[in-house]
Amino acid sequence: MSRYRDLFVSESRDHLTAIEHALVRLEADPGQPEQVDALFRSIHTIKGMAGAMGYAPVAELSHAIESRLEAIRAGAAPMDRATLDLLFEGADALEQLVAAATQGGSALDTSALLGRLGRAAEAAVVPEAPRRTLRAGARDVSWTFEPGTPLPAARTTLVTRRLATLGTVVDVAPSDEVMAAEAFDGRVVAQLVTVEDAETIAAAVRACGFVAHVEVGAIHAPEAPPTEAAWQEGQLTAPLQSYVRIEARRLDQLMNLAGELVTLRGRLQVAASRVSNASLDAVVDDVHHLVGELQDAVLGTRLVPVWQVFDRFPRVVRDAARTVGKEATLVIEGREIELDRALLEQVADPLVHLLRNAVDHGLEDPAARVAAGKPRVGRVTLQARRERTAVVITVVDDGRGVDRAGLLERARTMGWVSADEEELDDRDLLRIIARPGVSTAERVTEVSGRGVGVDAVVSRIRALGGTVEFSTVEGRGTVFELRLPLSLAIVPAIIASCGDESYALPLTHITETVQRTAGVVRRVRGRPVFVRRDRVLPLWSLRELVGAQGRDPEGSQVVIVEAAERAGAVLVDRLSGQQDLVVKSFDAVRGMSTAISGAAVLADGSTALIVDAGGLLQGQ
Amino acid sequence: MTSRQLLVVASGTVAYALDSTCVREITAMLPTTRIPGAGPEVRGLINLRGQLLPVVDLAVRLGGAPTPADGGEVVVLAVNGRSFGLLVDEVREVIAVDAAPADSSSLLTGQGPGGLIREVGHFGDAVVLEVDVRELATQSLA
Repeated sequence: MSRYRDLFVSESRDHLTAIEHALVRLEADPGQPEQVDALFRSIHTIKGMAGAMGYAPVAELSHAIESRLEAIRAGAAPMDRATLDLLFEGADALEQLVAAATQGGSALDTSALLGRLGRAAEAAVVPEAPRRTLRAGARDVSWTFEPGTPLPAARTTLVTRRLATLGTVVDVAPSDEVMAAEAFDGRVVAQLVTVEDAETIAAAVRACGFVAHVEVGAIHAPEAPPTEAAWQEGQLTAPLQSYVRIEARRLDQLMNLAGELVTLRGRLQVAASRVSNASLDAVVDDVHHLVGELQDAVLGTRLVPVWQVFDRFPRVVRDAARTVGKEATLVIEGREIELDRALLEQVADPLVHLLRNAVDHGLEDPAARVAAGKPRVGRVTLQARRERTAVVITVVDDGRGVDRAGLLERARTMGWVSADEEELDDRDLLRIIARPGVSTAERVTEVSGRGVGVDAVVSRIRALGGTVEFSTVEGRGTVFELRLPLSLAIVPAIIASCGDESYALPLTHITETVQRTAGVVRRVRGRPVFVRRDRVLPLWSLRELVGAQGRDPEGSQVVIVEAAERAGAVLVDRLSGQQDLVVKSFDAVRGMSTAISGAAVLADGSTALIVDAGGLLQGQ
Repeated sequence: MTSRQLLVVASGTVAYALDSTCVREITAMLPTTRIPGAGPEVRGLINLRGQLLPVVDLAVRLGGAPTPADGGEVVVLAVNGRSFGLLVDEVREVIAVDAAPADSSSLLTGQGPGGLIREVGHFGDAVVLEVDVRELATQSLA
């Protein structure tokens, strides 16, 4: 049962996201029947699932919303401001109900909302279409569930979803209510428009399990033209059907195993090179390529497109704008860019902060915008793009920008900058607005509150191994740029030696590596520093950090690291190349150096500890 | 009276018993990677089929000379979801002892470094000393 419940929750969330997306689009332009259809499909699916699972409040509310949408589709009710607000409210309530239903409580009294939805639906009575109409080009697919199949309605949802990957499911009978009844005989008929052959269709149905018998009928001759064309066309654009749900834990396990294979591959190569046998070498070569491909593929399974999170944001911006009486649109670019699932989850909250900030503190109110010669509606752009070793996410608004003079004055008063500071550049500005408790706005609002946001964003992104950059032009707008590593699980790193030990330094924080002779080592206030090109960087010796014996030999190299707007230098014996490391955690032992953040197995099979430059610099 | 299964291991010249419910597996000692900052009883990290485990030398932990570098066996222990290896000279056998209440027969409770050792009974003519694996984990892991 809990498996069904999890499925219900995750499916419902996807549909709620789709609902919000459609509502926001409709708000921009109410004359889009395909968006109404998208709404209808999602609501209908939630209703069906909730009914099958016995979540009555969810089913009841989605039914009310569905009725309202039916009226709109039939042209009997308008899609006006009041209706949109009601639908937004309904979507919110539905989301709360879904959460409450699965946690065993009912947190929300929806009777008032139901009343309002109901009145609207009654006001526009629509003649109900006959339940079974033969659709041209469709064929009947009927199946019978095994006796005693649990939750036939939920199963049917699974089957129809599977069928929908083959074509368009036009109709399913009987209704969920009938299926939920004791007397249900287990027989379900769906109409499917597809180019696939009968065997493929039957196999798809059987693959869902608990199916005793399948029958695929002939294709109905095209007769009457379809009356609900949108209902068919839209179905093909539903985004979820080509995805398979897999527990994240299983992907992690695959990732682990692939990492092991990479390590084994290295050992195999070393062993084969000792034997020197041509046919063995050929096999080793093949294994080498295949394992590389396998690792890439497994890494790929952890990647998800950013739209899975971004598509919730139009609603965030809309709500933020309405709360403070502004007008705003969100433009999303690069929604197909992929990011490690774990990273994407972590970055969602910071992005919400930045978007609300942009609306609340960035954008002017409509009158001020018009007065400044700008379009009345403010524009916030959320863009994702891929660079070689990073994914960059920017949040841009075309608002008023940051008041440099005002902020400089405040920073002087508070002693954050010296009193004779004349100008703040973008880096200084970010440092100041990222101080806990500082806000760029002159007033506190319900949306972003006072000063909550930027400091939280900056610290979260840094914790993920990323960086935040900021630029602003007064009167023109503000840009936040988040630069994130591609994956949390694979870290490109430089391998540094220290005596006969190897340590890995993640590239994320490395800006360059230089010969020790390229600079001068001095002591400032009893602390060693590395002076190069007028920069004075605190210097750590890897040997001292890890407590290795002996002095640094001549000719050591220096790794320049930078994190959280601080820079430093690490002196190492020698550097021996770069590797993509699969990071492994282990149970830390007491007393372990805080410079160590994890470990990884190197290509030669040995284990190297990872030295965390970010940690070094922060602990400075 | 129910009985408990104990794994008997040799470390230095003494035999110790470990609660077998915490034992995951036994492996020959593997190459180690030194962990900076860890105490002398921590031999380092081993890579057991991809899982990295810190290894504690039982002999050193109990105040003796280190287990010879070229030998020994590792008992992989899991306590409260955390895993580590315990390096001993050799693993001997599994015995069953009567599950007496922990405090009544524990003549040596609190004895040994850090209160790790207690007597659990006799086996043949030898006294069986049990190493408190949970306490060991608490003291060794961060």
